[in-house]
Amino acid sequence: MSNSASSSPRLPSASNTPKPKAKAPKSEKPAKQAPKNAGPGKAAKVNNASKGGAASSSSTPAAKKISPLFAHLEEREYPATTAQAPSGVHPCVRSLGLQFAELKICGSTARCLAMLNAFKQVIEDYQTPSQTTLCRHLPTYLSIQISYLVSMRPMAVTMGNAIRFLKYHISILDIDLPESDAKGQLIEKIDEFIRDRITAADRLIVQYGLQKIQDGDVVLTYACSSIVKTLLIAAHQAGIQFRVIVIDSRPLLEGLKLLRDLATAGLACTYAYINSISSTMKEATKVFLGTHAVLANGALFSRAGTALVAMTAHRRNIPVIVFSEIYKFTERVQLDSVVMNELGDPHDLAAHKDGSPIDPAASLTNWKSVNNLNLLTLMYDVTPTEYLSMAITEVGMIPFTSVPVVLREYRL
Amino acid sequence: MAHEEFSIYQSYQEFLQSDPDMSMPVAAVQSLVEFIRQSQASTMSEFVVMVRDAAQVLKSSARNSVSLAAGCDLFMQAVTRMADANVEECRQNLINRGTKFVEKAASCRESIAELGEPFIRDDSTILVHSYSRVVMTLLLRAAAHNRRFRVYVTEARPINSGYRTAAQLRQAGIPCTVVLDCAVGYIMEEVDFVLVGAEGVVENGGLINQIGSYQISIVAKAARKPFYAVAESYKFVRLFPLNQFDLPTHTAQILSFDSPQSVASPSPSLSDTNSMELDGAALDLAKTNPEVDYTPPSFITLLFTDLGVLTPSGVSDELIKLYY
Amino acid sequence: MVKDVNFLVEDLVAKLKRRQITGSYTIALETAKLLRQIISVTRWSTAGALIDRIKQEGCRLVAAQPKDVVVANIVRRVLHIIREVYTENRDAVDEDDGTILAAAPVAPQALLQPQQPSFSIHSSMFPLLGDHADLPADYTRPVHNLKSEIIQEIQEYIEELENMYSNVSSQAMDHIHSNEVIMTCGYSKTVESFLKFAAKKRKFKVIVAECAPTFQGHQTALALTAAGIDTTVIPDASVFAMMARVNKVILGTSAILANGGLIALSGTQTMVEAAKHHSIPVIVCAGLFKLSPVFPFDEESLSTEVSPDSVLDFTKGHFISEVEVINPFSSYVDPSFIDLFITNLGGHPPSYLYRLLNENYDAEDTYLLKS
Repeated sequence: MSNSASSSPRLPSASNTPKPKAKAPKSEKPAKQAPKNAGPGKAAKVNNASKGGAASSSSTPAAKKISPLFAHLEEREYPATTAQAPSGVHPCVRSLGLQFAELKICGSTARCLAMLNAFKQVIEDYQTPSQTTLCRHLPTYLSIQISYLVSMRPMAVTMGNAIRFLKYHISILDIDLPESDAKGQLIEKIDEFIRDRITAADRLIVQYGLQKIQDGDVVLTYACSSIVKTLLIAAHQAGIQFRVIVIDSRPLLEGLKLLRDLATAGLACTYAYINSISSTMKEATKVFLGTHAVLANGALFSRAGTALVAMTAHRRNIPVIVFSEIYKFTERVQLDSVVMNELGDPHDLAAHKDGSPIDPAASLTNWKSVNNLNLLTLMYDVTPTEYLSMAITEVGMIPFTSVPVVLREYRL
Repeated sequence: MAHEEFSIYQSYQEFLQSDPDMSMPVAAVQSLVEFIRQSQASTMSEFVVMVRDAAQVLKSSARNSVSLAAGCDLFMQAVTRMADANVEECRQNLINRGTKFVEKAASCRESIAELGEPFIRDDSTILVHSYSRVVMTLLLRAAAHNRRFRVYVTEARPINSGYRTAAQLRQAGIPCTVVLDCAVGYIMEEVDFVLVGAEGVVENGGLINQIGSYQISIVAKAARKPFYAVAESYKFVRLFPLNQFDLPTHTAQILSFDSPQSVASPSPSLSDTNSMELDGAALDLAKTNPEVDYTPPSFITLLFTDLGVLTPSGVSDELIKLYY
Repeated sequence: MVKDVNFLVEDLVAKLKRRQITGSYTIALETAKLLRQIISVTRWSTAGALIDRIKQEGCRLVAAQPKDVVVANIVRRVLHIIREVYTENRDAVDEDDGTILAAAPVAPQALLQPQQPSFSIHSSMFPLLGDHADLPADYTRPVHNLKSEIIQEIQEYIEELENMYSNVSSQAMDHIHSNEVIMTCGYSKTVESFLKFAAKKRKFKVIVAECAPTFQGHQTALALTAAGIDTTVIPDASVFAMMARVNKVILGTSAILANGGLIALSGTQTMVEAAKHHSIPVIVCAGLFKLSPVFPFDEESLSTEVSPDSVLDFTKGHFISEVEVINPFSSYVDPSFIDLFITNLGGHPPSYLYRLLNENYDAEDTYLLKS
């Protein structure tokens, strides 16, 4: 309640398009350029500001108060709509935002790629207004796109790093360059980023990763990491005899996607929910994880449940290997999972995706009308660095204590 | 004293040697019974003092007295409880009880083996330290009941008693490999659990055993493997060591930084340990090194005893009840 | 008569097999009542004969649900009661007759072992001092009034069972302070009554993990909110993240093993490990009848695997035929992660459980099916 009340005074400002919108990106820009100073408070503020827009359309249906324990986390409206998108948002960004919100495009790499591809389109279609220059105006225009995306779902660390890269290259453009050349150069830079930071990086990571799978291994993985999937399929194709245990968790059940792809590729797979991890871990010889982000204190910021998997493995002396491109590394530091996180759709806990109740005997489908009852889903958790054995990146196999070193040496 | 010709320590040694299966506390009780049999005392208090002195002599004659002391203390406890009876009855009673104890002691190991057997699962890999009669009883019983398992046994330098374990296990058809004492960390990943015997089980459930047990327990804990100790309840002893240097077996000579010559004075006896023949250098090392170490209870998962399978906290309970 | 008993036993066996009675409390109560009836209606002359009979019927019941420890616990407890009553009464007879047990001519055992209840052979020290253990356990002497005494004792035990929930939950005030955040998982009637009792006087919040695929957590949430407790349901994956805000973890269990380990709903082990990481105390609430004298020899054999359909069913696609799906209902929980047990007798540290075992069961009954 307090959340929506505090945001309602912002409503006029959200509909009052260009000027205040230009402000929001400004407050965000320094946050991205000097992330060391970007405390959680600041990020939350940005989220709240953009949330004002989201709340304006649907007139808060039977607003369920979130537990005060998590009042600092942003609540979003479900189901998501694009109705309140500001007029300046490019159509392809508008549909992308919806895909983000509905988790149709999910995963930090997929989201970053989709955003960069959309931005290529945005830049192509962009025309510098008269009386200003591209270098000066394009960042503002992009910021409108970005804050819209953020309003649909909080930004992934990968996206932030890519945006920083893009904005930097806009800022160093030669001011006298003709517009079409400048746009061409920027699109080229984006392609370069995708190639160097993602495609080529993944190829290297898979090469390193193949050294760490041997015949007879039982690899346990959690949820769905695209790089882990690529690696496991590559290892299978290389003729290595191993087995995979896919651990999954509700409500997202992302592991199912991974399981389908692995099983279709002919890998021997075992599937279980995360609650069985204490018994399934006994069979595993290695744990392979992907991640959303790698924090500067050597912790992982990854899909909720990752910490449980890593902890369980660590307690049984099973090595935990994390696969991550270094564009997922961030200067941010975080010790617990509560201070900064993203809330999922609480209704997913009460009903299956098709709307059928989960437990007919004790159905929570009417949870909004049950007094004292709250449903809460955190999207991420922070895995402490002591549970992680090794990071495999495109710059090699490194210990997690070296995350700050990589951040220093390979600044984007 | 009327029985000066009787040497309690010699009697003790004879009992130990006459029966290779006899453990030190049992031999101690038997020699004390023998002492009582030959003793003459007119008053009860004289009698008690005599027995106490004999026990003291016995304890101080052996270099490593922990296990022996457990037997002596147990017997002394029986003696003090008889204090108000008449001397002759008391003597006879103690002789009866002591003899019965010795008879029953042998069956102790069998009942431990019975309790411990279910812990030995098929296809398990067990790490055993040095040589322990009660551990052997357990393993051989499990093998006789067609359990299939493999055993790593530590060499247990300098007395090299691990080879004796290995030989006996192989004879029983149990796959067995001797590992260096310093290779324990290496093989621990392969091990399902650790099994050690005991010279003494102390008040807090900790363990006094052949040197090396403590470090094995630390490795086991680090690798999160169960560490089981097997001990007859007559090895429970009212001792509460705080650390290694608080053990009654610790002397200033052990691993001191003095020049080796100055500590070369022979210690009372090394033969207690059922040791194999030692060469000169190993003998020197053995003289300056501790024979036993203390494993704190936090490193022990469970104790298999004839009283049942106990958590370390259960030991104190038994000791408190016994010496109440 | 005998036919009647047979019929009653068969009836309970069938119910257990078909899982017509579930919930360890109900099973415990039914078993205790059946055993009481067996004792009262069957013909037996000595305690030894009765023990054999109870063992025999007990084995049939245990075999109906071999993984469930409760039936066996009740059988063991009843056997213990029979032995206890017999020994007490037999000794009383001895004293009346003025005959002292033959093997202790000089020092009566009472003098030597004043604190020792004479029946607990296995809890006494190796008998250098006592003579009693030398006596073979002998339950053949006829004892006056034995039947009615035994039945009275069992009746008391049944009453103890019936008061179990209130005896556990009445301790809640000692453990829950105001404004606490408590985490639990799955559903346990004991935990529910414990929290509800505390909620009468204290304000606190409960976070409950849903425990897919059984979703027992949903049941807990509805039960607690109905009692006015502020409850938040979370997915199992969020347990580690949410633990940072929790003060205490309070759990139920299916069984407590002799080393203090649990057999509990799948996911419990993960939750207690997460609690350990955050140094959050873990409390286990359970009736004492769940305490089993069996050690976890083989952790794998302790987890109960159930049909994988609720995790992954065949409608998800043809690829599933190639996939092995694991769905343990319950599994082993290591005792090193538990700080306190709260039973109907009070609060106990895990290190003291051995004592409760000694007080409630006889070691010779540990392996019922073997004998």
